[in-house]
Amino acid sequence: MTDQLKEQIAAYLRARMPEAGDVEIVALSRIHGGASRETFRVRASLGGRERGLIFRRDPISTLIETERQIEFAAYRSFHRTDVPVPGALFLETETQWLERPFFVMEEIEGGVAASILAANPYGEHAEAIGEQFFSILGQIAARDVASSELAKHLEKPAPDKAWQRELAHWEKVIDEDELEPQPIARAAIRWMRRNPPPPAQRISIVHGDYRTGNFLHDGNGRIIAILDWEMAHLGDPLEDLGWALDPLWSHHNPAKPAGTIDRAAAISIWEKTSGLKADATALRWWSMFASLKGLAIWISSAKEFQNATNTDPVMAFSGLYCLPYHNKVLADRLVEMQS
Amino acid sequence: MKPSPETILNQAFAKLAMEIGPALPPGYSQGSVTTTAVLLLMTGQEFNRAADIRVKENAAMRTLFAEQAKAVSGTLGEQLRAQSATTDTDLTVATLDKGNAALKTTLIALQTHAEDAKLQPLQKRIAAMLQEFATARQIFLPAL
Repeated sequence: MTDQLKEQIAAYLRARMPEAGDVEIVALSRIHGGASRETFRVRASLGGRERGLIFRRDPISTLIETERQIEFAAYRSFHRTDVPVPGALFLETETQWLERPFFVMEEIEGGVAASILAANPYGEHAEAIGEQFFSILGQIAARDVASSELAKHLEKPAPDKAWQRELAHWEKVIDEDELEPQPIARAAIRWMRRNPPPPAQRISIVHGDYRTGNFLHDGNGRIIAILDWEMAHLGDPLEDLGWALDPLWSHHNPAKPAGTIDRAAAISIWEKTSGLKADATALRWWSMFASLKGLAIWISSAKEFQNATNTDPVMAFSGLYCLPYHNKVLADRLVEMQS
Repeated sequence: MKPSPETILNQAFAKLAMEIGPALPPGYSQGSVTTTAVLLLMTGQEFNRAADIRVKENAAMRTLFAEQAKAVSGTLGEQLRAQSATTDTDLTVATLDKGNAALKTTLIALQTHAEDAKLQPLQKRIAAMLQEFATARQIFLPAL
């Protein structure tokens, strides 16, 4: 795989960057963890100058069916803003180069991403990371939608319809992909329809998968890149907050979202930077939604693995660990609502 | 069966996660080996309890359906009666799963009926039952 892929990438770079001169691939390795795209770290010599690049290629089968144009546009929407993202360089929709469509980004060097199973991934820098994590999320919510690259690709829902669209989308995923009946998911969906949230205060860019593990930090308390924008869309910014606060991403300590700071402090930082209010009723709804959306993703990944359309072990892990985890979170919340 | 499947899978986890994985260069292969090791650990937990969980869930749902069949008429009433009369004779996990799926389909219908008819005690009972099921099916993972 490696030699052939090296050749293919070199040929692509020669064609795409003729001004670079001689092109040689010095190193190529696949990065573990991305279930939505195959991600390769490429060290390329371009005219004698070494440069780090990231290639994100569509998989044969995907955990999340997303448009690569949207992810590409999301990176472009935030490049050179206070939301740190790598530069998005090229988008290729043709299959002639790497058999499948892909896009190319700058590599952020020296960045570390946390494993969701790690107990205390940020150590003494947990507070600093938490403050930045929720502050950046507030900045994403505050970003002007109309002037962003993403606005060209995405439909803007009405403020009172954002929740309906998202709930219908993920319900459809469950309808299509469940391998066995899901009574907890169904009960949660009915509860959410009977108890809708208030209209969105604003329609914002929603990252869609804003959580620990999807950003790079420098190991010294600084977040240097927000990654994995493949589920980006326009909607209620509380959707991202609910997802970021979900206990699955808390590194075994739900009192400290993302394994960083107290929940109340996290919400307060988000409110300050977004200029929005995290209304308790609305956030309760979006928190329920976050766990349902998680469940839908894990149901899909379990199906992919079971049907051998994607046998990456991450897919089996999602079905075996994450699916029962979110079932428990939702079941607890539904009991709470009963009382 | 000795060594037990749980022991075999736990030892395989340790071998992959503590010896083979760390010996590989960081990247996709190392990450995949570690994730595969964790899968073995989780499968070990599930092996021992899978049949027990399903038999208990199925029994709880049949008991509920037998009680509710007296109060519910129409198609759902018939469904409750039919499902409450089923039994688990084949205790292989695959067969238990089939029975469990049929019972859960009926449970969804019964819970929807309880919500539509505003039957609060029944709603609470089903919510508590689902919470109990979800608790039993959780997988424990140590911080890694």
